[in-house]
Amino acid sequence: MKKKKFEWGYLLLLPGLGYIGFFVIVSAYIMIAQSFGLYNAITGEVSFTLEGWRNVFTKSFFDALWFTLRTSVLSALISIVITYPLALLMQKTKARKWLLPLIKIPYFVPGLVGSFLIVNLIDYHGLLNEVLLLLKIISEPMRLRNDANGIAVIAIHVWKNVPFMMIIMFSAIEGIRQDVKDCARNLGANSLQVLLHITIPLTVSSALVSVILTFIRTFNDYAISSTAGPMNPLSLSNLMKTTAYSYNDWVTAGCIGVLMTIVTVIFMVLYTVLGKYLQNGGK
Amino acid sequence: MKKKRTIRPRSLTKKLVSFMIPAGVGLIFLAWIVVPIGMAVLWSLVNPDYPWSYPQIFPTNLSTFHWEHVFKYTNILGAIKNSLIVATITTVGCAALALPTAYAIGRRKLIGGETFKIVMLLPMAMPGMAMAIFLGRLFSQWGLANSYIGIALAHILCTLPLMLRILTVSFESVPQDIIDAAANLGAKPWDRFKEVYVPMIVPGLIAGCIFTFIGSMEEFNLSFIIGAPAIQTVPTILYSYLGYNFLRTNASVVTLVMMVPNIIVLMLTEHFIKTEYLGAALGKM
Amino acid sequence: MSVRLTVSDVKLSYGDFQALKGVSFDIEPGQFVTLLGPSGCGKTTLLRCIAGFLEPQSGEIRFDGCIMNDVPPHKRNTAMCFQSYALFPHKTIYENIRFGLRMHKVPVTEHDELIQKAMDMVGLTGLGNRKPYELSGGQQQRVALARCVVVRPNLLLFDEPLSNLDAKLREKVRVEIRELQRELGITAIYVTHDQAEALAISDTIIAMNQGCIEQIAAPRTIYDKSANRFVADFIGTANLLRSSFREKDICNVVVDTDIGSFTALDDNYTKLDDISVSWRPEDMIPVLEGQDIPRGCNVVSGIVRNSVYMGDRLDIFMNCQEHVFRASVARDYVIPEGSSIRFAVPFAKTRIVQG
Repeated sequence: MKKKKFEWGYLLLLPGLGYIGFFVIVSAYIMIAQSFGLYNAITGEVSFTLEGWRNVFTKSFFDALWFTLRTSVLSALISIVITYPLALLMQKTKARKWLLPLIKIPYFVPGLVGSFLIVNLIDYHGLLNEVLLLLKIISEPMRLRNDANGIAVIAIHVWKNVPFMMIIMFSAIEGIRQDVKDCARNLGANSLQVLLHITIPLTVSSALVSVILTFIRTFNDYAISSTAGPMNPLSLSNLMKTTAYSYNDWVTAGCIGVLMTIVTVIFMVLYTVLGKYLQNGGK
Repeated sequence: MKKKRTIRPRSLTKKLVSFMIPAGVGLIFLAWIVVPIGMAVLWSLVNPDYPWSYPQIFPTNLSTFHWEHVFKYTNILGAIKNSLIVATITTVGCAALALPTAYAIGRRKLIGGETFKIVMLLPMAMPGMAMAIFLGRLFSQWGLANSYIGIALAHILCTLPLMLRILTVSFESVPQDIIDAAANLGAKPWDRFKEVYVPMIVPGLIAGCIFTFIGSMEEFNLSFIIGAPAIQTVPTILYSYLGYNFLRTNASVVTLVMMVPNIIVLMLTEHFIKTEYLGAALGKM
Repeated sequence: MSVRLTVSDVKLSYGDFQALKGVSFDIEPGQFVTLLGPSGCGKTTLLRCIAGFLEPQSGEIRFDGCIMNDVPPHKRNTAMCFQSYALFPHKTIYENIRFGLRMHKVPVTEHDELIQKAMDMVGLTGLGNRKPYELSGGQQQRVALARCVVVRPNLLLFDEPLSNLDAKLREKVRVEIRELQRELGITAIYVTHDQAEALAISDTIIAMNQGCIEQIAAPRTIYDKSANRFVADFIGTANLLRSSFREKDICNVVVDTDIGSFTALDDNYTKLDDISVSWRPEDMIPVLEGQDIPRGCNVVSGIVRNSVYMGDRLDIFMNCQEHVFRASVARDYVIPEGSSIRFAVPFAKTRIVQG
C-alpha cells in the first residue's frame, strides 16, 4: 500500500475559508454572549443575565417585527408577481439581448442609492405625485415616504429585486431544454398547456429561490428602511442598532440580533435545500 | 347571423405580438431605470435661485451650482479618497486570501465539499447590521475602529465569498489535460502554477477584483459602524444627506457620484466578463 | 535515449471497478506498439500509468530496467500527445513547443534551432507566431506532435490523437506520425480503438479487453492467427461458430458444430474445450451452380438474406439455419436475395479460437 501523502490542499483552505469562518463565528459569538450579558466591550465585566431576554419582547419589538415581516413578504411577493409573468412572456423574443443588460442595472445599484432614487420619485413633491395630481387621480399629494406602511421601503426593494429575479427566472426558463417542449407539442399540447404543465413546474423552484433571497435581503436590510422608512415602527435592524447605540442597551440588542439570525438561518436552510433540489434536476 | 370576420394571416398577428411584448417590457424597464436616474440628474442640476416645485414638471433653470457646492463645501472628495483607499486594500487582501483557497477547492480533490459551500454562505446567515455592530464592538476593543485597516478587514469579509466563488470557477475551468501536458513536458508543481494556472485564471481574477473593488466602494453597514465618525466613505456621506437633514440636491449629486462605479462595472461585465462569472457573482449554486 | 519498456503485472482499481487486472508486456527500444481495444478496456488507464498520471496499486513499470512507479510525471522524460491536443491556449505555437525545452533546462541558445527543426518536421514552418485557436484541428495536432518530439523523450505516448480529425486526414496524419517515429527511433505507445489504424502503423499490437491483455502480436499475426473470439471479432470482422473438438491429426484439426464439421489447418493447437471456429468474410469463395467445391475447403451453404454494395466489394449476409454469416466478394457478382448459395472456406483460412 502506498503512503498517504500530506494533502496540502487542506492547509490552503485556511486563508479564504478560515478568514470567513473566524470572523463570522466571532461576531456570532459576541452577539450571543452579549444577549446573555456575558460580553462587555468597555469594562470587561460580565454577569450572566436573562434580563435581556425578558425585556426584548416589548411592544416596539413586536411592532418592528410585524413591520419588517410585512415589508419583506410584500416585497418578495410583489416582485415575483411582476417578474414571473414578464419572464414567461419574454421567452422567445430576440430583444433579450439588449434588454438583459438594461435589466441588470438596478441590481448593481447599492441600496442607499436606490433608496434615494425612488424616494425622490415618490416624495411629496416627487414625480409620481405630480403626475397623479395632473391626471386628477388624487386631489392632494400622498405621503408615501417615511410612512407607517413602509410603502417607500417596499417600492425600493421591489425596484432593486425585480431585475435580480428576472435574471434568475430567465436562466431557469432558458434552462428548459427545447426538445422537452417540442416533445410536448408533438404529443398534442398547445401553448397554454406547455406553459402550465412543463414550463411552470420546472421553474417554480427557481421562483421560490428568488422569493426567499428577496425576503432575506429585505428582512435584514438597514440602509433602505432607515432612510425611507418610518420612525415608528422601526425595522428590526434599525431597532437593534438604536437599542445598542442610542440606548446603550447592548444586551437587548444582542437578543434582537439572535432572533433575527434565527429567522435568517431558517430561510437560508430553505434556500439551500431548494437549491439542491434544483441542482438535482428537480426530483 | 354570424359576423364576417377578416382573418388576419397568423404570422402577422404573431409578429405584432412578438414585437409588442418586448417593446412594452423594454419601455417599462427603460422607465424603471431612466426615470429615477433622470430625476436625480435633474435635481442635481437645479438652480438654487429658481426652486423647482409643483406645479412645474421640469426645472426651469439649470445650473451646476450644487455640484460645485458639494465638491467644495462637503467632505465628498475626502470620502472618495477614503473609499478608494479602502477598496484598494480590500481588493488586494481579498485576492491574496482567496487565491490559495480557490486553487485548493477548484483543483484538489478534498473531502467535505458541502462544508465549504456552507462556510461560503455563512456571511449571509447573519443580518448585515447585526454582524456590523457586533464585529464593530470587537474592532473597537482591538483598536481597529476608525481606521482604514479596520474597514478594509470588514470589507474583505463581505467580498471574500464572491471572490472565492469566481476564482473557484476559474480554477475549475482549466482543463486537466493542459496541466497534464505541462507536467508531462517536465514542469514541476510550482512551474505548472506559474506557467499554466495563473495565465488562465487571470480573466477570472480581474473579474473578481472588479466586483470586489466595487463591492467595497458601495458597502455601507460596516463602513458606517466601524468608520464613523473619523472616516467617511461615499456611502456614509450619502446616508448623512438622507436622514434628518434630507438635502435633496446634495443627495442627488452624491448619488450620481456613487453610480459611476456601477456604470463602469456594467460596461465591463457586458464586454469582458463571461456569464459564468456573472452567474457565480449572483450566487447561483 | 530510446528505452525498453517493461510492464509487470500492473493492477489498478477505481474503488470496486478493476480497470487493469494484471497487465504485463515487454517492448524493445524503437518499437511502435499500439494498445488496441474497445472503450473501457483499460488502454488509456495503462497509458496514463506509463506516463505517471496514475499510480497502479500493484505491479511495476520499468524504463530500461529502472522502476518508475514512484517517479512523478515531470521527471519521467516521456512525451504525451493528447486526444484534445492540450495546447496552452495563452501561448503562441512557438512558445508551446518551447515549453518542454524550458522545463528540461535546455540551454537557451539551442532553443530556436530545435524548435525550427521540429516545426519543419511536422510541416508547420512559419506559423510560430500564431495562437492555437487560429489553427485547424490538423495543424493543432501537429503542434502537439512537435511539442513532444522536440524534447527528445525516452517514450512517445499517444492517446487517441487522431479521433478528432476527419477520416481522410486521419489516414494521412497517421502515416506521418509513423514515419516521424521511425526517423527519430523513439519507442512509441499508441492508444486507439480504431483497428484499421492499429493494423496500418504498428510494429506490434496489444489487444486489450476489460483490463486484460488478449493477445500481443504483429498486425499480420493478430489478423490471420487471432488467439481468441474477442480478438477475431474485434479486429476486422469474423464469422464465429461454437464448436467441440472431434479429432486431430498431423496438420489438421476437425471440430463439430451445429451445422456440420469443420477442418482447420492449425499448427499450434492446444486448447480442447470452449472453442469456436472462425473465418474471415473475404476468405469465403462463392461456389456457383454446377461448380465443384475446391479441394481442401470447408463448405458453408445457406439462403442469401441481403447483399450490401460497399463500393470496393459486395457484402453478402446469408442465413444458415439460425446463424447469419457474412461474406465479402468481388463487386461484380450479382447475387439475388432469397437465392441459395454455397461458399468454400479453405482449411488454411479456417481458425480455431478460444472462446
